[in-house]
Amino acid sequence: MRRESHGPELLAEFGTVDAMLHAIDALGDSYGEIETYTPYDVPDVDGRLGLRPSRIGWIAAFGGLCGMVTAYGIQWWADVHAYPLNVGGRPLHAAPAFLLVTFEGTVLGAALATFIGLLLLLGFPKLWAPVDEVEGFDRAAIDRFWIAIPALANENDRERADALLHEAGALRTVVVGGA
Amino acid sequence: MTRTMSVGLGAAIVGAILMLVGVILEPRQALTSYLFAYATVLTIVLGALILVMLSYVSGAAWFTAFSDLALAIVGALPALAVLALPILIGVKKIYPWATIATLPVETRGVVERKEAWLNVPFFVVRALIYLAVWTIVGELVRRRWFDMERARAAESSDLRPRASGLSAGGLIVVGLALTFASFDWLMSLDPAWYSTVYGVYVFAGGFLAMLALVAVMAPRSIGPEQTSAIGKLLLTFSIFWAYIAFSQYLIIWIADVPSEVTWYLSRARGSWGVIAIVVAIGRFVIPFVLLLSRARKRNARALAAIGALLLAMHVLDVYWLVMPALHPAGVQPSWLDAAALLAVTGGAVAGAAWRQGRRPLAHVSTRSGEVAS
Repeated sequence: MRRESHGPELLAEFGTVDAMLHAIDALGDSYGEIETYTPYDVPDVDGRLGLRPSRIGWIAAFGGLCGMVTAYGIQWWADVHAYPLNVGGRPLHAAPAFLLVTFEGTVLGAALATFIGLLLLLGFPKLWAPVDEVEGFDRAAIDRFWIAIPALANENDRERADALLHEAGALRTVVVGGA
Repeated sequence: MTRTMSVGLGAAIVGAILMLVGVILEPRQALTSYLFAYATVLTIVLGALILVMLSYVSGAAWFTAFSDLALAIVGALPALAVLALPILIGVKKIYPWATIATLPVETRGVVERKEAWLNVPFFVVRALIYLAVWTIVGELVRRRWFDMERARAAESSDLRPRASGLSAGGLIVVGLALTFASFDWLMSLDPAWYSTVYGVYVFAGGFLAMLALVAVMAPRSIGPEQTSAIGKLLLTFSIFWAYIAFSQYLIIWIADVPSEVTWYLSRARGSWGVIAIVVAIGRFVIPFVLLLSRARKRNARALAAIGALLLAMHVLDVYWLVMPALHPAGVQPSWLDAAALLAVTGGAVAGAAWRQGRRPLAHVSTRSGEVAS
């Protein structure tokens, strides 16, 4: 999940997952909200950064519930109120038969909610972030592991963070964004 | 003799004595109760055999943590083959088609046309074939597993390809035998009625109950990744069971043909209807909602509790499949139901424990924490 970026950020590039995880441990929680950019999902990161589980599950559940109620409701309205038809003496409110479309409606609602919800959570329609300007940052999608921490206003603190990152094995560090 | 084995044997002996008394007092009730108990246990054990073979065919690495447990359950098959005897001897007492003259006139004609399939000698021959297929495949799979363990211990080449070939063939014959046995042993209790999805329903229920048993018995040393694999399968097969159960119900409900609805008429009304609703809620609604949570799927104790609920629901579901044939008007619990469960479960547990000996139920590599998800 992309947080809103307000100021300059200190970026560090790592060649391996282990080096990046080591750096996260070395930084501890005194450097604000740390962001990672990795080519694949690294399950260990969530725990170390103290991330809460994503809200996407609840969004999907809500979408599914809406789809379920809508699908059942449409059939109930059409078959019981708008166009009542006697089909071989079966009840107008034929719950077992309604359930098929209700199921499909639930899946549709959950899928749409997941798709749209994920885009919104990821910051869509924001198409650009300062990190994109860094030369070689695209390798975060290939074979490099990046950490971003909010760059500190205090010169000394920033230098100490920089030193910690290099000590942990950072290939290089860059400051981006801000004024 | 291990403690598990003595407990199982004790239960089997007590159950067998009670059953003997029951056969003298109320033979039909006793034998039908026995069929219910036997089907309950057998479907679980066959589920374990199918799970083992599925994991060999798909090369599932997560399964290694549960393989010892599943193969220990499969070890009950020879004992179960012997325990089928009372059903084979009591065919005439259990199944209405064996004595056509006692059937109501409306259904007699339909059942007479099925006589080429539903007659006592052919029924017994088929039953022996099913039992032979399960026992032989089960024993082959177990032996192959021990060979592979030995090869692994000696660090020789990987033997998985050989197990996958055996399992692919085994899945087909075991699946067919299970389908036909469910038609023969359970569906023919209502001889005029049929449902083509019935075999899958019985399989789905047994497989889900077996996963529940694994969740209950899983060694505490198993990590969250493996626990979550069982949790996901429990959720999947709870949904699968509900899907199959609903398909059968919907097709029969919407067609509303007299010869088909009879089966549901006794099972969806009165006290049997209450049981049907309890099973639908306890086997699908509650586990479905509980198992959606990722944290709960990774929590072995929570899974064990859900497993216990699912096992109870399996017993109730098989009861609901079998017993309305004897008591169509409503639930009529008998002490023989409990005695039969005691006898069959005890016998199966004793058989499996005897085969298991003193080997632990947790896989060696799991105990040292080597196996990843």
